[in-house]
Amino acid sequence: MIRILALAALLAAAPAHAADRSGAALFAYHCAACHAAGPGHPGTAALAYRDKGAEPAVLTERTDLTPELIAYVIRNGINAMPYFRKTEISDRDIASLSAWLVRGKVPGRRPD
Amino acid sequence: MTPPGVSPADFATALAGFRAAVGADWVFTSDEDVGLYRDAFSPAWGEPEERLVSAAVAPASTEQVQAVMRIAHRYGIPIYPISTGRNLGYGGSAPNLSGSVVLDLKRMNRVLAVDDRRHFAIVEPGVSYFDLYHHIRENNLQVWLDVPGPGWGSPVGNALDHGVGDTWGIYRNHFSAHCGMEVVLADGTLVRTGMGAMPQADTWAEYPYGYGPSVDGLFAQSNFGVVTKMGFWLMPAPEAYASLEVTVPRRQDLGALIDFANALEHQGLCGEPLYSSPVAAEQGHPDYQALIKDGVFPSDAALDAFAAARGKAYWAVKLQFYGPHEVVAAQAAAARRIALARMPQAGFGAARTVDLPLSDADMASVDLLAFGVPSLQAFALTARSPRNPDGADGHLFFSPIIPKSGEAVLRYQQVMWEAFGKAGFPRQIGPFTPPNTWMFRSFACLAVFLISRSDVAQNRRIRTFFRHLIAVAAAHGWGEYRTAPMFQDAVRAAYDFNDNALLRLHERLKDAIDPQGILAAGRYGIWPGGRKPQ
Repeated sequence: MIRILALAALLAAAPAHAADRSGAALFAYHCAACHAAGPGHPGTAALAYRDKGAEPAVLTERTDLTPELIAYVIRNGINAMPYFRKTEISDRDIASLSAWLVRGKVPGRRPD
Repeated sequence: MTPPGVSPADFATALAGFRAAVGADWVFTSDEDVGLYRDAFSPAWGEPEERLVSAAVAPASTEQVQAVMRIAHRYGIPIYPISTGRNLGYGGSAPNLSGSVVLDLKRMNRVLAVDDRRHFAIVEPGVSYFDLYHHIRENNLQVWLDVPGPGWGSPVGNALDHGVGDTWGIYRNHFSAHCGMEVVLADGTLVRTGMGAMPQADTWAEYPYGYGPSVDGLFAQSNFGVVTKMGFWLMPAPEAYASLEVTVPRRQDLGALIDFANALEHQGLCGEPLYSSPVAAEQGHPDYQALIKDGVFPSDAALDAFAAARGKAYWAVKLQFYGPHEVVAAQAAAARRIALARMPQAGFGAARTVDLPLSDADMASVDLLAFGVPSLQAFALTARSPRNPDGADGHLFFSPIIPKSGEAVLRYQQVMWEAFGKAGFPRQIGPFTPPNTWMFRSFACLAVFLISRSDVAQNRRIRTFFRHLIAVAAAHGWGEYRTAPMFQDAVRAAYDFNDNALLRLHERLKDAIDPQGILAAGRYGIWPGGRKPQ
């Protein structure tokens, strides 16, 4: 280990997982690759096809999410989305992520 | 669940030891937690054939991996290591031997080194392609990754399963691009390979062989050790990208097109050639449906006439170039000249030049895999879409290696067309199927089966047919490069030269290195003592 770090001009060993545990950062780290807006996001495309506009396809814009539903899908998966292990995302991180995703949302009312 | 051959008392003692080694929070035994290690894409979900897990232990350091292995060794606990556990389509995080304890290395997530003067990285197994990519970007390092389809995978785990990518030849084969490993053996012994074996050397990730026999290959697609660090060669960030599409009009022109692209690529003049059939999009046309209505593979003349009538070239190859602006322009010009000299019938489709690094606009319009940018776009294959209206619960890849020639591809199409048709499966391989070109010196030609957790009957049909396809392919010399644990014995049986001499060698090595057979028993067909448990 010491020898590796002694290699010339190397950066200090960096933990790959973001130190920022905010809901926004956790969403960016765990969810955005599939669920962000725009093309190239299979989760967004799948929700757009399923819901046919009844709810926004982008997770951050949905009004029908609850912390319970978010936690259930993360730990059980849905269709092509596999479940996530506790070494990937802790229960505490799921709580932060969920609180951020549902913040200020009123069921049935689209965010302005 | 208790691991096979282990008494409940010994298992309890071992679990207590694991907790002492890694912390109680990182040993998982509840059904809820252990269930997260099932293969989410299992084609045997909920059936007796599904491979299940008894517990999981997640160390945070090499020292903790050693401690876990010493305990496992003492109590004979079967251990199955995973990196990020995202080998979906090839078995996910589930073991070959049901009842194994998963050694989850996700917490070992440090980027140990990225050098953009000598162009290498050293990472732990829990680092994902996304992690490494962001590390490179955030530190403005001038190197590129070569990434597989799903960016949440691990460079270590992907390379160890012989995973592949889409940029320049020597980087696309991820195991070939690795350089140096740290490995924990079944008894907890720590080994470093290559230059890592010399404690004073700082060439771990630059010279792969070190001194004496290179043993790195033993730790890929195998069960000889737990890899805890791995070096990789990286490509210097290029200044520009260019692509050129070369087309040919007829089905039998594929051989000349492949020979042409081979000659360029094997000289190091282009990156990954991407083959396609422009006429494939016309398969819904009534004239084509009439051609195949009896399940007969159409003649070349009929197919050529159909392509011509639709105004489409039969084959295309997209050549991709990386380097300084004037060099990629010259390479594209040379490719155009050579194509016409070798194939007077050739035409040219889209050509594109992209300045690097990618602008945001280009990022949204290019094939990210060709630029070493990780994403999860590959899951569009399985996710709900007009093509797949109910959404699948997973996919399973059939991945045979075939020669890099037109004859081989055309023959493969016909053989697979007949095999799928006879079994009553939709013919997903047909007259327009192009080869996959991830490997530098061979083709693969994939078939993909969509899995449903609730349709047990269909999953059984798929498993039976998958085993049949393995045998059909083997009869033609096409062997899978990679497969899920459920099929690893069947694929292994096809690699049987001289009465399975290679398997017997692997088994002798297995029994010498891991005499208790605790590490990933059965992985890639290597069972301790040569015996698969009944």
